Amino acid sequence: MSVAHEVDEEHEVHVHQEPTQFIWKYVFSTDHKVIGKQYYMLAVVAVVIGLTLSLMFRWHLATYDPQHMFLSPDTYLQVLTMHGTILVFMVLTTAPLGGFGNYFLPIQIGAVDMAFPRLNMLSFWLTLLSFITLLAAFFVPGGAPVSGWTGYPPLSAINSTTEGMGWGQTLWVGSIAIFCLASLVGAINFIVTTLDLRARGMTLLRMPLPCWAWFVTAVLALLSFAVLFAGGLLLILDRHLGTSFYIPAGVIFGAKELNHKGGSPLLYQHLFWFFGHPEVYIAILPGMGIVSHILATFSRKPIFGYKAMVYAIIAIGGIGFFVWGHHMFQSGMSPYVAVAFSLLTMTIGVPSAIKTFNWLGTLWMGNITCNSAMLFALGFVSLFVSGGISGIFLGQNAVDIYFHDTYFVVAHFHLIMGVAAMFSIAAGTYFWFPKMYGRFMNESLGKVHFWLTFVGVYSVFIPMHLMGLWGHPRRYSGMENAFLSNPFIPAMHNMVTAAAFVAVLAQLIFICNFFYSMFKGPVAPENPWNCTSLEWITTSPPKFDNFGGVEPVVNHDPYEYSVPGASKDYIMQTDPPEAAPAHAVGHD
Amino acid sequence: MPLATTEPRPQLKPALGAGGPGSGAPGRGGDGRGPEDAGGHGRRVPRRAYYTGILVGLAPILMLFAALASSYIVRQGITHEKDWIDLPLPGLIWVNTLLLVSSSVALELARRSLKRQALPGFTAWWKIGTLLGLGFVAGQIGIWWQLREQGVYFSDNPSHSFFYLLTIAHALHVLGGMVALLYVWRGSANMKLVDGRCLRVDLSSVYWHFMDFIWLFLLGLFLIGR
Amino acid sequence: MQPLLMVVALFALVLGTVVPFIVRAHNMMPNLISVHGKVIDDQIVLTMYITGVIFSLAQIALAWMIWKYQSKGQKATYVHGNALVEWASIFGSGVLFVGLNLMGQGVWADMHLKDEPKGSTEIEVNGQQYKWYYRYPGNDGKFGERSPSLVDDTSQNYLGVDFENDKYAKDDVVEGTLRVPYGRDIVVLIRSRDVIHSFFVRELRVKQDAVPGLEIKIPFKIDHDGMLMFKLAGVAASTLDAKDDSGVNAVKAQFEEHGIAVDTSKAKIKVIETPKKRWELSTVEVSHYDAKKEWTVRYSIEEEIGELKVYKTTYESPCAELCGNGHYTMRGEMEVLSPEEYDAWAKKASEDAKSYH
Ligand code: HEM
Ligand SMILES: [Cu+2]
Ligand SMILES: [Cu+2]
Repeated sequence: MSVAHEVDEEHEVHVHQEPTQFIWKYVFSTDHKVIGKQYYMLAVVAVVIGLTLSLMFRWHLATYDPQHMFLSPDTYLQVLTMHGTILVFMVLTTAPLGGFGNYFLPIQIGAVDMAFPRLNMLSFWLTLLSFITLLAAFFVPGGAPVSGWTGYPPLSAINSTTEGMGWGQTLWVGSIAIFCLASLVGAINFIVTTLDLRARGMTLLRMPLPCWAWFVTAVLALLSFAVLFAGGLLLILDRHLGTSFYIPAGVIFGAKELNHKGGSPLLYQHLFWFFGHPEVYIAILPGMGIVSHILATFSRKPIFGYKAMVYAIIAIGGIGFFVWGHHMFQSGMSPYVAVAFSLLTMTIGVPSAIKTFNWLGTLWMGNITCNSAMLFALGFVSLFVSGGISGIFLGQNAVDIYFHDTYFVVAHFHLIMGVAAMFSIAAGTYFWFPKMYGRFMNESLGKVHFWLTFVGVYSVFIPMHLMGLWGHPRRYSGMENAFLSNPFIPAMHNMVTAAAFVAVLAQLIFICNFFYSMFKGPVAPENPWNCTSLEWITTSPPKFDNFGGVEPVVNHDPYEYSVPGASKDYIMQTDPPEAAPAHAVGHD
Repeated sequence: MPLATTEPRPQLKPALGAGGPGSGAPGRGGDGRGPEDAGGHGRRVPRRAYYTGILVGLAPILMLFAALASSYIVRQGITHEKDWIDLPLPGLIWVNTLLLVSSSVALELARRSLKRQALPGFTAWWKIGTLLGLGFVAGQIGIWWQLREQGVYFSDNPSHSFFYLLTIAHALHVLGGMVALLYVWRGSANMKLVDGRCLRVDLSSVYWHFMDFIWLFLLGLFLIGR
Repeated sequence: MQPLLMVVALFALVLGTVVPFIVRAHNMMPNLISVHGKVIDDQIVLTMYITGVIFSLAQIALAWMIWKYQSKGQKATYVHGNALVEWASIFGSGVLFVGLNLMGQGVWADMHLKDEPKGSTEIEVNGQQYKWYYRYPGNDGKFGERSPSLVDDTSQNYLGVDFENDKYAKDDVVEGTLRVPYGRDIVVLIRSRDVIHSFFVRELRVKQDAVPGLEIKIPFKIDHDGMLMFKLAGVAASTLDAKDDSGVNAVKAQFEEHGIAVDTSKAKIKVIETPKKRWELSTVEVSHYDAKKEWTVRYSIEEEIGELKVYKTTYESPCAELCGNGHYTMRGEMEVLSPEEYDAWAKKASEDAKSYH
């Protein structure tokens, strides 16, 4: 027996060449940049499908006529369920983290790749598998599930509850379970990369804010997806092995009592929302990071309160684990617990308020350029405020009695999660496209895209608050009753649908712009935005090993713009220490 | 102005003070396999990344079992309809516990031997540990078989469902660890040692000890509240 | 150009939102008929004012920054932040949000944490796909036993009540309409026999999931004066000539007859005619002011072939938790009766049930 003593004590060294064959270079690649793009493309496909579905049910609502429904009630709910699931999981969880995070986290901290590239590849392929499994639900007998993206049992736990609860629901749970595994693997990679692979001088508090956001998001994913997995596991067992984790005794379907032993439907809701609330922050935190980065760059100012921003991200992540009960105020959960959840929920408004203040502070006394990236970042701030405001209503247990499960909730989470996160993705795309593809996207089309989207989404979701105030329950496919056929409601539905078509079709402009610019856009230099972070010191697009074989050394904070006395209005993080004159203004 | 400062000899050092385990010795770059020489993509992943990785990776497993265990406790708490029938714990469970704990002890002894450069000791203890682990898995299968004989089935009562679910989930994780142990066993002839430590040995035994911990936690869960 | 557009857009957003939300806050929700609902509505309106201010300030500040600091080649000022601003925003928002929340806890406690008042009228609300059934204890005041195994839809025993053997069950009334008296304490016991449903009556400001395996109690009370006002408004509406204001005095007289003092200087009673595509809708607005409470009643009447049918006392109870494909069709009906009407109805229904079983 021989023991080979490793020469390098501290590092495992893997030497690999850039693969030359197409399949290894672009398909089964372990390069974080390729994986990032793969994630992004998956999200583009998913967003097209998900938004098309939404147009279908919006059209149904606008043209609603009980005699000639555009979608049958089952189809309506199937389309609705798949819309929600596809967008929450396959778009909002993949593009900001898997897409931009994979591509830019290693570069921004000065690493050559993720810590575990093969796991990274695994994570993408599992995500794709999960997506395909989800889509397959449309094509099995009975079709896609109808139980909403939350999939509450007993509705989702028993095949005979209603049409469409057969294999479609099983595939749905299976898809979510695979997605959990993919996210866990991805999260481990993000965390280890951030902790252990930072370049020299890149202390934690010198990381650009997107890195902080990706890091905390990964921690949230790490701790929450395992719980969702457990929830899904029990659901599958109830569906197929006759257990009674969620199905209580004495439930009656088809006029006869089922043989179940007394489970608790609320158990599922707890497991789901323990994941579900952190999940909404998984969707939005990367967006906050990206937007902060862009706001600083195009205001030519340091981030206002960098440390406060970091602590706010951590606080949002931390408190986010203790507020899940605010989705369950009316669920039959203990009302004492509801009080606690409600108070905790309000405290999460505090870090959110800090972020908003600091974004405004970043713009204050700046030198603001409104290009497409910046417009979307500004739009994000506006949307985040609007969506956060309705959170103040919903977070109060007493007020939520009225608003729960009405269109008010739909409006709230679309503004703050759906649309705001989409805005951050768009902002990130206009901002990083030159780096990813070495070309610019078309600015004029970008602005048209922004304006149609911005006006469109507000026209969709502000009226929905009114419908919620009016008491319109969500997930209703029809309105034939005295209350809802009050002329106010169909008029609102028509207006919302018209606006939805504008907002969704505007995305076609974006997609065309994206693919056209990939090949035909004007060529971009290394650092077109005069931005300070590490991705801008390398070529556009970066080489296989990101920095061309040299290891960057970081000497500066991430947002050193307009430093008095400096020769130019930005100091790269890698500029020599002398680049900054003695700091005129102290740090906070 | 790209790459204002670059280092001719890349030396990666932990940016934030002393890092995790494995960062004791100062780095020795330039072993002839550095990026320049490799001509390609020389990926230098510090060893401590693997230690961080395993610790981070254990977190979701902990969360999974915590979620299932709290479901168990909640479900046990709402027995208003007397539909929670405690499961008769087979005596074999104690034998299995002993097997699992002693396998961990054996692996730990193996690791110590390695540190002392006592390779035969390492191999012997590692093999013993692995076999004890296999014994645990076999014992668990025995338990399920025994319960089945007694007419305790997966879906006949929530308490039974939970017992099977938790033990099977644990056993699957243990089997994953078993693959790692066997892999080390197979490769014990040519190991990379740094400071008397071998990455795979360390990682797989950390995982294995964690499985012990989960098992003891589950055992406690089954015992309290009956 | 872009900064200008941004300013215009954000101002339009603020106006377009704040005007309908703040100015007409009272009228955006369906009429209120419960006592506790007043607190909820007040809380909603208060939250609306506070958040309205925050919302407007934030959006306008954003617009102002974009306008004021748009690039004209100036150099940005190098600031890293300001500890005072950070701490102020932490404490300010914390105190505001938590304080607001605490204000709402009283009504929550009334609904969920306190024992229901003695002598409350108990009514069982049962959800099933896609229908609500309500059970009243009958003249003996006690609910009979029930069991899932007795459920038999063909003989219309949807709830599995043991009519055969339990003497308390024999006079229980099971109905498809929820009838409740105003002015009395009521407790609904909410249950479901299959999936999760949610009992929601907009005008009551009550919403509670119906969970299989659980029975959840929700107390409420329909405001006596408020209902009286509705009734009066109904009477008034039916006696008023929609195009003539002269009926106002007659209506005032009716109010005074019922012991409701109308401060003529502040009260206004007006009839607005709003012809609509689908319905002939007339809205009677009755505003009643009084030193202690202030409320506005909006009232709708449906016109049918020359005759006024007043649907004043039935309210919809739409299911508010996704329960399957027929979810949108699942709505119950709640009829509010005067205590006397209710007693008479309950007595008769219970006797009928007893003789039937
Ligand atoms: C000021 C901070 C926030 C507060 C106080 C808040 C509060 C709430 C509450 C209480 C609900 C439950 C409403 C109900 O079902 O009755 C809710 C729903 C929701 N919130 Fe928020 N929220 C906040 C921020 C966010 C953020 C930042 C996101 C996403 C990025 C988000 C996404 C959602 C989603 C997706 C739902 C609906 C889930 C569903 O039922 O389908 N919220 N929010
Ligand atoms: Cu939440
Ligand atoms: Cu329902």
